[in-house]
Amino acid sequence: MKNPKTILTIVGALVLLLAGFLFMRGPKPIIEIKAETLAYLGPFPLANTYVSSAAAVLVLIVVGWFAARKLSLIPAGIQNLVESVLEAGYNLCVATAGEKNGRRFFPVFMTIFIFIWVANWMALLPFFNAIGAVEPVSAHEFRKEAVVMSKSAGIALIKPSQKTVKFDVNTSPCTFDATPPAASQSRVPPAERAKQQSDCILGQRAIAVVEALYKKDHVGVADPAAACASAGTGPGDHHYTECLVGQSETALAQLKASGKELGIIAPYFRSMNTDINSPLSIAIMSAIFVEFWGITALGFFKYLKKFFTISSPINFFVGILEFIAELARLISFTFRLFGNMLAGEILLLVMTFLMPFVVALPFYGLEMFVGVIQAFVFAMLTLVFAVLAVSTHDTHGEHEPLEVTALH
Amino acid sequence: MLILGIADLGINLPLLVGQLVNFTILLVVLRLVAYGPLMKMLDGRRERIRESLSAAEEMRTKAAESDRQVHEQIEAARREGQALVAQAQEISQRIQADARAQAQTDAEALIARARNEIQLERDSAIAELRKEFADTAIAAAEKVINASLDRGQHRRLIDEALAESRFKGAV
Repeated sequence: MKNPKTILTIVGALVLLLAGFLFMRGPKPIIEIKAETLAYLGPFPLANTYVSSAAAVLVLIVVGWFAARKLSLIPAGIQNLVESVLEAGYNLCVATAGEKNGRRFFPVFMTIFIFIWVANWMALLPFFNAIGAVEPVSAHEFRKEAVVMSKSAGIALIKPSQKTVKFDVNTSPCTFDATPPAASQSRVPPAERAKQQSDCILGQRAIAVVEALYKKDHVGVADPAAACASAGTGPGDHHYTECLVGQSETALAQLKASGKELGIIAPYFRSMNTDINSPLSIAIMSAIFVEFWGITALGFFKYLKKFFTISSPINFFVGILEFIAELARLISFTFRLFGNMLAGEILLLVMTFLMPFVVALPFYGLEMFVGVIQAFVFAMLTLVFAVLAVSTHDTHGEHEPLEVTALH
Repeated sequence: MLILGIADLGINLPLLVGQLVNFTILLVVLRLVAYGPLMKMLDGRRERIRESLSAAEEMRTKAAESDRQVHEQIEAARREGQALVAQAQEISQRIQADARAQAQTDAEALIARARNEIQLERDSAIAELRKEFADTAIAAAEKVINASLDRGQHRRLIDEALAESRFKGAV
């Protein structure tokens, strides 16, 4: 505490903390589990997670190319870094799987590791989850939550003072099925009833949007249900619904006229592994390679005998169990990575929302740690499963590495 | 229900295939661009290290060998030097002894000659003295008896008397 630098740092941090808390708090984060689709390239949905995955691939290829372009026996610069990482991976492979198998497993092991690692660390860059396309929200394209953004010069900005709007949809008038079938309703065919119900829900959503906008920005009418009461018979009626949707559209138009917009942000970049497709794809690749190595090492029928054997009832059941375990790996691989990364992203979003500055920093450090650990676990488990796959049943016990129990 | 849940999580076949393709591209390109050359380089370096280690080992044994040889040579030279010194000492001792013996014999010869000469001197001196004494005795006796006896008879008498006496030196 005697050091003036320390005192200055602490005071500065506290001032930042306070300023952030008072002036820079953004709206409550809107958590989306699905990756937002930015555009459709034919049948292919270009998701933001796919964009960042492609970016990670690009970065890795460029770095790999630069590092290995002019190789010298005495390494320098970027070669040093890349080489030390690769050599550590190589040594681990050889130590775990032996010289011959280690060399075979190494490329897949290393690719899994650095791909996940770099993607996870790239996700901590500032433009992730912050810059994106605006997806407008209305009664038709409804979401439970949205943000009112200020629009200037074509760019929509979420200002610190803005809050997340939550739409409370009252669906109780729409539960037609729950009501006892009256004589008049029973004559309505089921298709008609489904249409009625979806209309009703649309109307209720429109009501929620209009009410929320009125409460927040004083646009539109205070009580859309009352305004449209004369338009139709009530919830479920087509004309009544149309009136309500019209009301909501008017409110949104008024909001737009005042230079604002209701919507959510679909970020251009989002952490690759927060989309379940990415961990699943890597898990599938890992499984494909493990089975491929197992088959090539033992032969097709001998490998199948690991799972399907009738030599004894016990072996039969053990084989079936191993087969199920083989499939379960896919799921555990996927959800371990997906869950960790999604949780990390949500943690960071929430921490930045609660305390915009300073406090979020340790969590960034934590996420760096989690990012590299998850990458290592994924790659290491692949390696271990590969070692198990190429070992025969007879020598199973001897070769089983300790890491299996340590990492499960 | 399960299918619905999966859809809510966002599993999407085209996207999944896209990610698989992404991973495959990365794997193949890195394999070609980075892993292959780097592994070759690492193998080369490992080989180089092994070679230089074995070369160093060889050098070490060589150095030890030459060290041993040098030691051996030094030892041999030392032994040779010692032998030379010993030989020189021996020679010098012999020379010394020879010189001493020579000196002794020389001295003895010298003494013997001197003694011989002294003997000769004495003998001649004694003969001289005896002759003088005989002459004196004859002259004295001539004076006493005065010509009764001739000179020849006298000499014979005196010689007989001297031969009976202690003087036996050469005349």
